[in-house]
Amino acid sequence: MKKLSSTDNISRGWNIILNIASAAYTLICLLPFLLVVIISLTDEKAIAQYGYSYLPKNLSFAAYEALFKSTNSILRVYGVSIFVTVVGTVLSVIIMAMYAYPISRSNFRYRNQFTFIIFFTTLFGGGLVPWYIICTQVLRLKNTVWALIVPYLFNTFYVIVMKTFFKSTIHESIIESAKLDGASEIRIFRTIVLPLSLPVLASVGLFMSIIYWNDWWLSTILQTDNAWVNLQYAMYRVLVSATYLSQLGGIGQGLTQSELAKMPTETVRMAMCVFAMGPIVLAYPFFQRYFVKGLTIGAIKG
Amino acid sequence: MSQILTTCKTEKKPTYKYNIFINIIKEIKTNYSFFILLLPGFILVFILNYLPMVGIVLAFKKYQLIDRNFFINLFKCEWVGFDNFWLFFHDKNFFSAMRVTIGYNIMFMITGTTISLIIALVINEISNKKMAKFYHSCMLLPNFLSWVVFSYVVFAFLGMEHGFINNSILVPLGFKEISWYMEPKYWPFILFIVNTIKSAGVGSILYLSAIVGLDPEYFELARIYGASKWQQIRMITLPLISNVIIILLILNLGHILSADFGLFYNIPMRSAYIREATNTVDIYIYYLLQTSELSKSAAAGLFKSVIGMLTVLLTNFTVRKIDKEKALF
Repeated sequence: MKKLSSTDNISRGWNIILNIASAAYTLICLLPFLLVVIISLTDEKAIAQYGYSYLPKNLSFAAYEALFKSTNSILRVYGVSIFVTVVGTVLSVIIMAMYAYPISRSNFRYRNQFTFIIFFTTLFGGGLVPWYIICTQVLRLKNTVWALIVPYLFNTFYVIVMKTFFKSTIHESIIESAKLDGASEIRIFRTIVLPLSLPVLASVGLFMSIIYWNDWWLSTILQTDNAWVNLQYAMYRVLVSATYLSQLGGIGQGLTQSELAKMPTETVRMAMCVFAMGPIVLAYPFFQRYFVKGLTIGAIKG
Repeated sequence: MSQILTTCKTEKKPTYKYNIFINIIKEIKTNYSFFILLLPGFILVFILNYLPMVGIVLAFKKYQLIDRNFFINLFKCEWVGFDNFWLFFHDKNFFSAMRVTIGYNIMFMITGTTISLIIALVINEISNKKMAKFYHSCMLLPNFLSWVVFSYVVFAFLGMEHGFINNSILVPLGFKEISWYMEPKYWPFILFIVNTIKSAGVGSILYLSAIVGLDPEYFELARIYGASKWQQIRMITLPLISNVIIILLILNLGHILSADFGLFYNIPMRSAYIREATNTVDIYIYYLLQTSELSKSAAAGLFKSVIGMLTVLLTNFTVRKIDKEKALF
């Protein structure tokens, strides 16, 4: 029935026009990123002469070679990003699921109070300065790797999403029967609730990993030395001053001074950008379903 | 009757507080595992969200470096009442930041809603559903890339020396090069395009699901009576989802003082020449923190928090009046 109303009615001509319009907008969304990829593959001399272009005169892999040669620092930067993303995602999903489960249970007397405690934080906060002081003076996060993980561990929005999911898909009767068999609440949570909630855990996990992977803000505010630089923060610094690359404990470690001077800085930084986009763009086709699902669950209020 | 009620009340009152304690202890005893599960999250929220609320006293004090320990400083420094607030109220940069934030938010609200709505309508009408889905997924992709990546892309287009627009479009066509990062007048337009590419696709998801969820019988009946597609969209689809549109708009109004920090901080690359067009309230607060004007920054942050809370409550109240189901709380 639905098919009739939405498909039969549009004329061939209009269908073509709408297709062209959508394709055009799709290109507007994708082509800008292609430019960065092409620049990273362009010969440095061609850039100096003709500027950035979609159709470069000479192609070269010099930027990627330079990045791979200076393995020490770039691997470290990449490693920090991967470590933060993996540890942060796993920890945050566990902690948020643990919080979401009790407040989804109708036999928990204080579920509304505990929901309000986290909900209120979305309404009112102390502001940037008090938060910064707590992070640096109480938690002593400054210049540690935990500065990149701890502040994002708990996200009220995703807790509410999980709570809604637990409430709507896990039947009270399953939990009741497990209880009759003598299972404790923690055991029920571990062996029944979590396996049944894999879809929502996957969606929230994906979004958390995107948040961690894309983060530059925590480094900007909580890192003052170069000990725990992640990929996004390195990129952020490099864009303003290309020399930051060599500050990073020598991105050209093992290179001589003259080799360092020859390093194609213009294309190297664009190659870094390609490395930052890479994982997301490559993973996107496979996880796209979960992304969209996650965005739509978010629309349901808790 | 009333006498009975009052006696009931007076009888119950003394035991009431006592009951809460008994209840909590009883609940902890019977459902201690729930509390164990809640604990890690609760500690995080307490430290990262509730402890900072104590820190707002800083907004009413004149912060000075007396000791190495921050808290001793905070305790010892003097109360100045609302002086910090007057400080930034008399700062013309603050009002510029307010104007910029509210201006962009209103622009993004209007254009964002329109573009997202058009995307949803178009995607819904395309006959080949597989193609439609493909287009839509591609439009969502930029949302998952970081603002730093976006700042690289924008730089690749607008950069002074090698930028694509200067080198490959303006100069070959015989125009003069433009120093994009030094001219404030272009920035509302640039930020609008960047913001649209990043978020219009995601914005369309809600509208699309609202449109798909409409009862097909309306459209069938309209077709029987000979309504064209355009008429159907105008007379059926738009009025039926207008509720969703209005509610999303009002809810956005609640965040009128907050702007996406990444967009306004990264995309203009912090160029000093275009601050008047790109500095938002959040960035104003951030720069005050960077220059160690802690009290002033805390006061501005508190001002933003309070106004933000009031606007959210107000807009939510309005939404409740329209449609109770759609209100956040």
